[in-house]
Amino acid sequence: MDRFGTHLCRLTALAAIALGPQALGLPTPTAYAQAAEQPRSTSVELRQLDVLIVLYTRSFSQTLTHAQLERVHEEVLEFVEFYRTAVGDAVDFRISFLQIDRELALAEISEVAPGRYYLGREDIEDELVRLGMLDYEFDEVIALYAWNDANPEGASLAYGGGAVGPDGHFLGDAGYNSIGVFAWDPGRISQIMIHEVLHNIDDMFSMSGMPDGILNSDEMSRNMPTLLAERPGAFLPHYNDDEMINYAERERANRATYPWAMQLVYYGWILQRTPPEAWLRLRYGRVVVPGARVRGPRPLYERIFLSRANERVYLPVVSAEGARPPSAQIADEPIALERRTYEHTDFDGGTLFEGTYYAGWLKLARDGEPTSLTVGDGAVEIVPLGMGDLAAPSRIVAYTATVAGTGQGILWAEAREARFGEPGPLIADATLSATSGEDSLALAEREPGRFAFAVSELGVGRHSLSLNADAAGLVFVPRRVVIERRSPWRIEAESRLLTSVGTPLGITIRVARDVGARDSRVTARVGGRELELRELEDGRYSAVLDEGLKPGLDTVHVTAELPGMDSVEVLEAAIPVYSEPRGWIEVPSRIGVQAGQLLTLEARVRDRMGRVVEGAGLPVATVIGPELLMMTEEEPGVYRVRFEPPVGDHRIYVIGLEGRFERRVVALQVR
Amino acid sequence: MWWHYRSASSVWTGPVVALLAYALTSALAGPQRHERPRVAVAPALTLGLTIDGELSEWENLPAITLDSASHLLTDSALYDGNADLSGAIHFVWDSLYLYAAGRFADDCFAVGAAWTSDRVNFVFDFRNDNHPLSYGGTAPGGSSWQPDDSWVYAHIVGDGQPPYPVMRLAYDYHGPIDGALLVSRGVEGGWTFEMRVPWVGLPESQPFVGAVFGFQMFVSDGDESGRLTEIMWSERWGYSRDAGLQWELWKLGKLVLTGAPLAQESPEEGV
Repeated sequence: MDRFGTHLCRLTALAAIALGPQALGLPTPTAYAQAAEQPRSTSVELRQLDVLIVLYTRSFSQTLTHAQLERVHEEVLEFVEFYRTAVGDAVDFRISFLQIDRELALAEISEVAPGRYYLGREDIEDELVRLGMLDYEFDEVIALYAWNDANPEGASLAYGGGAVGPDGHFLGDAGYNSIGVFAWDPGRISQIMIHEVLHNIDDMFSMSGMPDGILNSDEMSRNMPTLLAERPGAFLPHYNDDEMINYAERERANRATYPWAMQLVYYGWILQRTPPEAWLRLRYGRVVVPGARVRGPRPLYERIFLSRANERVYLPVVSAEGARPPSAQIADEPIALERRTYEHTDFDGGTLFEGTYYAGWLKLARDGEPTSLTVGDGAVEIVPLGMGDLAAPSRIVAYTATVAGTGQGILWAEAREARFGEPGPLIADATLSATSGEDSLALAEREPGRFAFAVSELGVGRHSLSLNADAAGLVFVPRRVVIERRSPWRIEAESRLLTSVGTPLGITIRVARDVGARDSRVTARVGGRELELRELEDGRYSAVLDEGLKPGLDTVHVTAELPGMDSVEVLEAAIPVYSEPRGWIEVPSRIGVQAGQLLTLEARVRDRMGRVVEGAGLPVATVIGPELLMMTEEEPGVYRVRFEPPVGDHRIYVIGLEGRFERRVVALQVR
Repeated sequence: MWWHYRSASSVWTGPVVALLAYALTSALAGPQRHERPRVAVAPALTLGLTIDGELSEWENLPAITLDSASHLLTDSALYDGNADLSGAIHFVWDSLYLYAAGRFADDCFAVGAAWTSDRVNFVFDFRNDNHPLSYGGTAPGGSSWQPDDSWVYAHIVGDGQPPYPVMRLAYDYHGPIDGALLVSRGVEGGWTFEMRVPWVGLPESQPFVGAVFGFQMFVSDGDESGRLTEIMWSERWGYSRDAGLQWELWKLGKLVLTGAPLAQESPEEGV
C-alpha cells in the first residue's frame, strides 16, 4: 500500500513479462495449483464478503459487443475461481453485478495526469447511491469500464488497475478498484482483479485492527525469503530456492519480472498463510458456515442489476467439470444454458487453469419487476432499474455565422432509457435543464424526449454546460457539454513584418476556419498601395509589393471577403510592418573646394535594388572632424549639407543614423 | 589642453547648430517621414586624459544636458527642479575606451550602492538595430535582451572605499566591467564624475569614426528617506512606482563617434 492508500498497478509492467509457464516448462496443473492445494486446517466457519461488480458497457471510447460482455463475465468467473481454489475454505465472495449501459463520458473520469485517466471511486459513487447500491452494504466494489486508448480525445488509461480502501469513505465502507476493459488483452481483466482485490483485502485487515493480517501483494520479492522458508521448493521443478532468491533480487533491481504463474504462487501463499481466525475477525461481510454454501451448479451472481429497458440478460452459471448441466427456469419456462469453457492464461497465453461453466441470454419480462431465477442449486435475483441515458455530444464547435440549413449551431440532447448495445427508448415525460455557470439555459423540446438549444444564444468563447434530465423512476447522470462558439473565419498572419527599404515586401496571410477558406477575395493596403492577394492553397493568399516600403513603421491592412450562402462576410486585420533603412549612400569619392568657399556636399540614398529612395527623410549625417552635421533631403532622394571647411586635405564621412548603411568616406581637398 | 575645438565657420558652428539643423529637418518631415532620433556625439580623443574627477579637460566639449526640461520618470512631487538634479554629460572615445564625464547639481548626495542612491546610467544598443517592432513592442525581461544590448551604470559613491565599480547588465551578465574606472568628487552644490569603460568590456561594440550606437541615458538621484528622482535623455520610457522602469529598448537615441579636429589625425579611423 502506498502512502496515499491507493494501489495503482501499471499494466505495462505486467505486459513486459516475457517468461510464462510454458517458457518455464511449467505443466498444468501448475506450481500455482500445487501451492493452492496446500493442506489447510478445515474451519467450521468462513468469511463471506459482499462484492459488487459494476460494468460500464459503453464509454466515449468503446462500446462493448455482446461477445465482449460475455468475456467480461468469464473473467469475473476466473477471478472468483482463483480465490475459491486458493482460500475458499476461509473466504467466500457473494457477488452482485450491476450493468450500466449509458455512455460514460470522458468528463466523468478523473484525469490523474495530462491525458491519463482513471475511473475513481468519487467519479461513480453518486450514481451508485442513486441506483440504491448503498442499501446492499457492499464490502467491495470493482468497477469495470469499456475503454479504448485509440480514441479521438487522445485519452489513455493511467493504470492497469487501481485499488483504494476500504477506509470508510466510499459507499458506506467499501473497498474499491477499477479496471478499464478491452484496452488490452481481455485476459488481463481477471489478473488485475485478482491483484487489486488483494490490496482491498489488505486494507480490510488494517481497518479491522490487523495491519499485518495479510502480506502486501506488491511485495513478492521482499517476501520471497519468507515464502521459501515456509514453502521450500515452491517454484520447483523450474527454480530451486537459491535461484528464486536471486530472481527476487533481480526483480527488485528492475532487471527481471515475474510471470503471472509465479505471481499466483505468491498470491495463493499470502492468502493461505493468513490464519482462518484472522479472516473470521474481519469486520467486513459476515461469518457463514461452509456447509451453507451451494457447491453444485449455481449462478455466478446473487443479483444482477440492469436497466429495465433491456430485454435480455446474460446469465453465467458456475459448474464443476463433469457436473450435470444446470436446469434453469423463469416463470416456469425452462431456459437453455450453453456449456462453455474458460482458460486462465499467463502473459504468453499459456494455460494456468481452466474449467467449464454454463451461460445464456435470458429474455426478461417487460413488467420491470425483480425476478428471482432458480438455476441448478442456486438462485439469482434479476433487478431491473430505471436507468436513464442522457445523450448529448460532449463538445460542439459552432460559428457565429452559420450557413443556414446546415443544422450547425444546434445542441441536441436526448433523454432515453439506457439499453445495452443500442439506444433505449426516448422518454416522453422527461424534462431537461441546462446551466452555464450561474445562468440557466432554456432547451426547447422538439419532440418527446428530444431537446434542442440554439448555441447562437451564447457569446463567442468557450462555455461549459451542465445538462440534467429528470423523469419519474429514472436515474440520470448529469452530462457536461463544452460549446466553443467561434467567429467563423479569421485571418492568420505574422504578428509583425520586417523588411528593408526598397525591398519587395511579400505579404502572405491565411484565411481560415479550421481549414483554410477558399474562393475569398483578399486585398491588402500598405504604403499607399492597394494589392489583391492571389490564392495559394489551404486558405493562404499572397501578394508582393515590388517596390517595397518607405523606411519606418507602417501597417498592412488586410481585408478578406468570404462568400456565404446569402451574403458576403468581411474580415479585416492589421499587421504592423517595419521597413528598415538599408542600402547604400552614394557620395562623390573626392571633392575639392577653394578655401573660404561654402562647400555643398550632396548624397543620394539608394535601396538594395539600386533605386533612389525618395521622400523618406532619412537621418543621414556627415561627420566632419569632431562635428556631426545632419543632411537634409532638399529634393526627392537628394540630401545636402553645407559647411565651410578649413584648408587642407581631410576625410569626411557620411553615415546613416538608422538602419544598415555602410559609412562612406569622402576625400576633401581645400586649397 | 588635450582638445582643440574650432568654430571657424558661420555655417559650421558645431554640434549646437548641427542639432538645430537636425531638429529643423525633423520639423519639416511630414507624417510619412521617418521619425528622427535624438543624437549625441562623442568626439575622438587625441591627447591623454586623466581620470580624476576634475573636469577642466572637458570644457568646450559637446555636452548632453539633463535637467528639468528632460523626461522626468519619477514622481514630479519629489523633484524640485534644477537645483535638485540637473547637469550635463560629455563623451569622448579612443581606440581602447569610451570616456564619460559630467557635473550635476544635486541638493542631497545619497551614497552607497543601493538602487536609491545617486547613479549615472547608459543604455547601449551597439549594433544599432533596435526598432519599433523589436521585442514585440514590449519591455523585455533582462534575459530576453539582445546580446548587443547593455546597461552600464555606476553609483557615484558606492559601498566601501573607492574606486567604485562600473557595472554592466546584459542578457547574460550582471557585474563589474573589468578595466573600467570611475572617479567621482563632491563639489559645491553637487558632484562630478569621470569614467572610462574599455570597449572590450562592452560586447559587440566596434569603435570607429562614424560608428552609431543606439543609446539612452538617465541619471538617478536619491534623496533622504529613499526618495528617488530619475531624469532621462531621449524618449521617455515607461515608469511606475511599483514596477519601476520599463526597459523599452526600442526607444533609443543615438550616440555617434566622431573624429578628431580636421587638422589632426583621428586615433583609429577603421573601415
